[in-house]
Amino acid sequence: MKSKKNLLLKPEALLNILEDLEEEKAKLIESEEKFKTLISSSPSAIYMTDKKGNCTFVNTFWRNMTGLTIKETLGKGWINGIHPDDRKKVEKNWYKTVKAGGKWGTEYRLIDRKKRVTWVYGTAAALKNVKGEITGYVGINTDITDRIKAEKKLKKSHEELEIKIKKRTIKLREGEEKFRGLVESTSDWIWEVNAKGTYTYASPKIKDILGYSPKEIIGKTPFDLMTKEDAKKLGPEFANIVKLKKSFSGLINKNKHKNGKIVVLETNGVPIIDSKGKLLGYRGIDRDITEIRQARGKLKEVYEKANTMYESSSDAIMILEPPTWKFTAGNPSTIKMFKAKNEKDFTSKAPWQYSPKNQPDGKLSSTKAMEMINTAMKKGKHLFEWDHKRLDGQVFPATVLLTRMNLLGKGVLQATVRDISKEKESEKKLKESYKKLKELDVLKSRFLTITSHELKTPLTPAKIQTQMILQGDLGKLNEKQKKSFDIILRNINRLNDLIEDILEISRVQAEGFKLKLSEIQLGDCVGLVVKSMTPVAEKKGLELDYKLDSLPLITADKKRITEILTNLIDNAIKFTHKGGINIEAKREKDYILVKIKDTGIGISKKDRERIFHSFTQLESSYTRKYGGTGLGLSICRGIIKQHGGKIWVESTLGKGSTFYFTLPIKKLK
Amino acid sequence: MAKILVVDDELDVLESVKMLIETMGHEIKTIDNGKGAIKLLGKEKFDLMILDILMPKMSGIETLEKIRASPKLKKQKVAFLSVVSLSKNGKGVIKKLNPVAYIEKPIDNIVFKKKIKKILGA
Repeated sequence: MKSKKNLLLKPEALLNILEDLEEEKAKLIESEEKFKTLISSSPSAIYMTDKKGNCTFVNTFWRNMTGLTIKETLGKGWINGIHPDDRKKVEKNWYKTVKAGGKWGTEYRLIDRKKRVTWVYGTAAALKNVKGEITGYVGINTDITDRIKAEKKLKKSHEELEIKIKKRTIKLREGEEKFRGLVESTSDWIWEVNAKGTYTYASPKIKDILGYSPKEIIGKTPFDLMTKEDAKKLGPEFANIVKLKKSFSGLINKNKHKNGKIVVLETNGVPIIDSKGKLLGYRGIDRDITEIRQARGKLKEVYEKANTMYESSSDAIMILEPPTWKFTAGNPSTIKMFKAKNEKDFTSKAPWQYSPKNQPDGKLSSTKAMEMINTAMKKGKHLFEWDHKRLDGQVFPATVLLTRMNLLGKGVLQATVRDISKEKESEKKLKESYKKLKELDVLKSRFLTITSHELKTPLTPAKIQTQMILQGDLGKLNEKQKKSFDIILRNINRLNDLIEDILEISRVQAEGFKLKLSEIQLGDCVGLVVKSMTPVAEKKGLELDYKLDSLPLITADKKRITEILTNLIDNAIKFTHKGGINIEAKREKDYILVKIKDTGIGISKKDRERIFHSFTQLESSYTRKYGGTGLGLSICRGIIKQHGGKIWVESTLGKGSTFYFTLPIKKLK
Repeated sequence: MAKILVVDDELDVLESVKMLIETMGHEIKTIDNGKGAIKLLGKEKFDLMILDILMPKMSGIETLEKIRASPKLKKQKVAFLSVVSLSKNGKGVIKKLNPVAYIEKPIDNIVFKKKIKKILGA
């Protein structure tokens, strides 16, 4: 507008104007130079385009970022400086914006030949001439790599955070589920009360413990559930805890089940306190310890019993533990038995340290002890005899019972040791006296044998002479002389019978006595003996009967059995004056029972116990009156015993006696 | 009439047996020990020897063992006369010595006489 006005100016004025113009031009050039320098050395990437948007210039910075030369960027060449992924989008948008004359402002990546990526924020402004027409564009690409990087990092950490949160949430939910599961499945009851002590929460377990549903509990206080006594007793105690906002545990309290039964609970609680320190309530767990308490009571009783036994037992009781098998405990009897000062003095030694070097069988105590221990561990129990040694060195015989036990999950042994010195001593004495008795018995038998033979010797000439006199070999006798020698001979014979019986007893009782065994039919023996004895019985006017079942064959000494039957039947006849004698034989299980019953004078209780024993019952009145030696039953007993049978008598004085004897059916060896 | 030798260490027994056998009408000699009996057997012939068992120094068993071992005397008829009742074992020992009889003391005169008669008759 100014130039239009100046068209009418004067030449000087025109000159001036020209000068001005020159000046302006110089200024313009200067400013353009300045501008170019500015652009070239700018720390931002700058480019210029024509009005169509095609590149006409890029500054050094831009070239540095893309590695392209100016020439390469001209026209559409600049696009090659854009990251391939952004290229199409940027190109399209750029030309679209230029065409529409819109505003440009976008983020994209530049790339150089070495694939170095630079994030830029591109802005551009239109260049207009004086007329206001767009002549081109100038744009700036600001390096935003650091920001993008920071943004990316931020985004990544944001994403990570989100994942973490998600995970945490899941965990939390799981935890919550777990917690709820725990609360609902635990055998304990979980509760919550408010500051007033009123239940605000009760886990379903309460139903099992006290019979109430959680709903019934909410609104009640713990003291409503307790027995009156406990509520009264624990009220002040609990008030004190609440006052101090303390947690508590192991509070034992008796409660009434809905069904009336007493339930003992062990209560534990922690206070719920808000951030300002105000008590909001309590939260806790109750455990039903009714059964535990009962069990504990029983356990205590058992323990006390066991402990009393342990403490007061006259047997030494101790514990041995692997792997060293040293004693780890011993009761008072142990201390006494091993002459230790105290338990500590006794323990920490192994069994073989309380033993002589060798056991009676010659084995090393240490070796044998381990054998015993192993046997006990294997079998659970092992009883054996053992030579022990007291701390004062005295060795004593003992019985040891090792019992495997479980002590706090560890296999240990309990040893029960009994000092059997006294028993051993009396056993020894008994053995000695038995041996002596045996010797005496042998001596007695020998004495009897020898004496009997010696007795027979003087009897021999006496008998020969008496018989010769009586038989008239030495001249004729008158009646009185005959009667006299009859008596002498009868007594010689009686004496001889006695000697024979004594010999028989010694023989039967002697250890080497042997039966002549064969298979016999007992019935035959009975028949024969009865037949031979019948005349004797008839002479006394007695009946002699027998009854035999079918009997199996038995292995026995026929001669001896006949002897027994003869003896018993002879006795029965001798002691019976009226009635008769009845003999029976029958099979009973695995033996034959023979019964000889008479209606005789009977045997007193005192005599019944004695008649089977030799020399104890030579009740002379019987033998004098009835004859015989009185040793017959003793001989019978000896023979029956040798056969493996028994003999006994049942009798009523004045009514009669029944003699029984048995003979086994099984074969004798 | 037979000739009998009786050997017993008990003189009363010897005398009594002698008297009893004499009632049977036999000739009898007595001696109180085994050793002397063997000597006598070497000198004289006896139809029967009655021998006791339990004797001091030399028992009847030993005496008969010696007799059986002697070729000259081994066929001598010998009857034992003893107080000993024989056990199974004892019988075995005796059997080997082959006596004509084993008579237990004390004796029944009648039974004894029958036995002697039987031995001598055989």
